[in-house]
Amino acid sequence: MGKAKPPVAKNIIVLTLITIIAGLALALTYNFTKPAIDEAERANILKSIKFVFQKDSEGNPVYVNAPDAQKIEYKLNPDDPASRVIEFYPGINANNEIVGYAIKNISGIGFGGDIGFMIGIDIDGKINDIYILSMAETPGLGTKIDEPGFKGQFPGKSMATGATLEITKDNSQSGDIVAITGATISSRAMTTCVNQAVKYYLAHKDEIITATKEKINAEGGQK
Amino acid sequence: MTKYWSELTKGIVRENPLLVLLLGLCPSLAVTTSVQNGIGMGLAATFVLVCSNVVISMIRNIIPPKVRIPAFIVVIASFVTIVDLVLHAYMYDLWKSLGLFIPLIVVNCIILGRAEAFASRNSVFLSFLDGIGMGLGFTFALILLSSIREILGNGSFAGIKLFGESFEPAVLMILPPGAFITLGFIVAGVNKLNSRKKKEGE
Repeated sequence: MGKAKPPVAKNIIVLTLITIIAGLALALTYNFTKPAIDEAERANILKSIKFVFQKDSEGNPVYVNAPDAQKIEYKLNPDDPASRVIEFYPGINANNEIVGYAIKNISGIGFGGDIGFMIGIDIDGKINDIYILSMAETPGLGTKIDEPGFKGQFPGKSMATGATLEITKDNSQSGDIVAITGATISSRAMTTCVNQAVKYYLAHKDEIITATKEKINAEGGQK
Repeated sequence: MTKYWSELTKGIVRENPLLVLLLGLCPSLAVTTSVQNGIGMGLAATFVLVCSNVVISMIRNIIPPKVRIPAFIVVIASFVTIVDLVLHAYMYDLWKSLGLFIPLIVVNCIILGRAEAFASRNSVFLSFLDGIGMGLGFTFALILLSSIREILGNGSFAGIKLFGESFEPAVLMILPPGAFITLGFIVAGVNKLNSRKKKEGE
């Protein structure tokens, strides 16, 4: 009898080989698709900014060509290095005036993980429109936050007087936003996230506008 | 020829993975709240099922029996990840609506079940046919289940409203209990159909 390999060794070798091949295939696919994924994500951000900005009389959004170049980021909690980031994309009209912002804010209290929102506001903090960048809510229930019946409650709401958008489960009760039946958590996550973003803007308005102007001037100087 | 045809069609009614074998219940019950979801989940699962069946059938003779389950899982999970990355990169809108379900395919026991019960014992071509048949059967079952739930629970079909404003949808059908109730009735119906066919055959 020749020296036959013990079966355990064969198991280990075959399984290791399979995982190595699978790992290689995945690494190659990842490297190959990475640039396209980044590009698609950026296109999604630009599309969402376009979507939430005010439109002029011809239906074109009031914004400059690459608003992500003038992005301003803040940490929601400056003392925490792992804090969530809130992003402001300025909307600038033809006369080089800031007319509003698209705010990217992420809700951590969704039913199925994080939900990313792009919230368009005018310079006074009045909500113009909202775009959902990403979510993993329950299909058919939580995903209804992206339907006009729920999302349509936000545009035109203003928090300039210091008010907070209140959520209610029932039409008959007082409240600004009526939650979706069966998806109270998703509804609340969206309302809280919008409140947080707009309130942050109102509290730091001067700072944000100054920072935007600096960015625009710096760009102008480079040209 | 009839053998190939029978491998292809057995998944659709006779051995339908969801309605007769009762495999893959967890993702099926969770996503069938609307017809679009049902179609998306069905097609994504079909793609992974066909790929994993073919690859597992190709390597079936070199996998030692003791480690076959981890080997299958590695193959399936790799395909799911590749599908996820490719869709994300080149079909962003589709990925956005399907993104939720793609990771669920890994835990779909239809795919592991077919790998174990069929692909690891049959030729590549037969496994390919089995994958297509089972995938289509799964998609068909998901469409049936989600149509009933969406029409009764939301008053719409594939997002198109069917009834007037006065229609009060039964939200229960969209919620998890609705999934079990609907599936129970469908399975009863399919069993009746299959048992009648068997009697006729005898």
